[in-house]
Amino acid sequence: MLSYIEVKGLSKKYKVFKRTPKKGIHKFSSLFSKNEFESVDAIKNLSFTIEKQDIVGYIGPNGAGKSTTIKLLAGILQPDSGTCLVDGEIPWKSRKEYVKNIGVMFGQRSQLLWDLPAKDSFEMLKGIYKLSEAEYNESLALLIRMLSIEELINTPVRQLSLGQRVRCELAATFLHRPKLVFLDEPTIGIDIEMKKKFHNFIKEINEVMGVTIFITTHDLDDIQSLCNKLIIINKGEIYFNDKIDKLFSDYFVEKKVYVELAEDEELVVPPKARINKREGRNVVVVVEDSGIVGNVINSIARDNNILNIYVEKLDIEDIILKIYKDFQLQNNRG
Amino acid sequence: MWALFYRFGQIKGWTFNEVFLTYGIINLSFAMAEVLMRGFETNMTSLIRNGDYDRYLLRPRNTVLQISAFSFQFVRLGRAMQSIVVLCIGIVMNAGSITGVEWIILLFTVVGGWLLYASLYIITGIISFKIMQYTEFMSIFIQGSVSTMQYPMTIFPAWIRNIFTYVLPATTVSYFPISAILDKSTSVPRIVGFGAPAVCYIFFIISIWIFFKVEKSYVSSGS
Repeated sequence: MLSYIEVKGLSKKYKVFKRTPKKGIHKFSSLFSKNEFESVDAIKNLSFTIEKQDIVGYIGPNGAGKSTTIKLLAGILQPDSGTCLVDGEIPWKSRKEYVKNIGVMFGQRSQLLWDLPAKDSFEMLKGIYKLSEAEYNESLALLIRMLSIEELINTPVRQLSLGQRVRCELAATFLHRPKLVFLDEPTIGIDIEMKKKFHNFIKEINEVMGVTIFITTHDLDDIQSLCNKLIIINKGEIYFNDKIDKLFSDYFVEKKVYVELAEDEELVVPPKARINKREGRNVVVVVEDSGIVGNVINSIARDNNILNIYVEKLDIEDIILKIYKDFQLQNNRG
Repeated sequence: MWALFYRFGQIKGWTFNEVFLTYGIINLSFAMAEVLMRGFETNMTSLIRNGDYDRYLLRPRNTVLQISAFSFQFVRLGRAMQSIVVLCIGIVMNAGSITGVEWIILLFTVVGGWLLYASLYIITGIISFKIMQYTEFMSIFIQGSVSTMQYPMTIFPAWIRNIFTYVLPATTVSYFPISAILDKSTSVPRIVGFGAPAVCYIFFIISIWIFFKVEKSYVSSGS
């Protein structure tokens, strides 16, 4: 059976203007010479599948090809090669039909009319998407309740705070009940409380509307609390594509055990563990095998006079950071 | 214009009254095109450079319609009004020659002129896609043809006439059909003069077609 989104061998190149440093008279004559362009792979040979009602996190360093992928899947760009089917349709064929069922929110650009209240933008979208009065009222009431934007929608957009505006943007994105939504860095610049509200909203709307959501972000909090699937890309190629739990088991970095000693004395650690850092009575012990963490803690507690011992919570950030560092090494070598 | 004719009486067989018609038609077509299509010139570059064109492509509507609607220029209606007045005077003054079928030709010509200038704006948009810069030089064609075509073509040297006939089909919505309406002798038979505005309809269709072709090559700016 076909998945909801099937991407196979998708590639897209773009041209970059290249300027070679010139000296003296050549600086002037270069004005008249032909520009040199370099062809760069935005994405190459990308393949993945996404099921209906998934919340997919799509991450990678800057310039990895995230936005290009979104634009291809949203039908704005055409690939150089490869295919892509979303619900059996090719995005960049028959654009007008296709975009009726998708919603896109760019965290850094607004789709609301700047000088008018959000309500007016919603009315405009109602016209653009040819929503019936009943559909519109139902969606709007639902979104107003879920995002608590009742008081905001009659204020001109330019007078809203960023957090308030993002909520209105979300309402505008989901107003026409899209089946597939792309959120491009939705939480950029908003505070922690707002972010929590955003997470709750996305989870709820995912349930209520049965919408498939595709998020690109640099905020790993978003990934950890929302996504059931994670795709990591680098330089246009997929690096990781699976469930998040798999990431933890695949890329186990090391576990840190924090020990606070009762007295100033040497800490005795079992084999397979080593002391990483010591500051006064606080010692950091590193364990490189996830299976023996329990044993290590046991033996430390048995062999030493300790006040306090705790294991660092496994953090997605450390793993991603390590992966990104590997990317850099690869790039430097390449 | 009045001063011009007061001194010279008539220009190469065209009277003051008759020039009202060409003047009115060209200015009305241009003003209406400006009201509706100006966005292709003024907004296109920033739309493309800022990547806001993405948003237009993400909406299930015609992009030409969206560009037009989001930069609708009420102010320009003033110019349209003014040219309607001039055109009406022209019609009244030449009431003798405008009967029955000439009315239809007149309408056909005004719409043709509107389409011609609309096409020019669309071509400006097409160029914006390609070079991502404001295309100042297109104004030469747009403004230039407006100021020349409001007068009968015969007063200009041959090379200007040729540019505005074969490169830019502006004479097909002023000189030729008006001559035909007024039953003046030109280099072409009268029936060709009546049909001349059709060139602009074709010109418009080609422009739109190219616009959608070029739109496909749109590369969004990074974000």
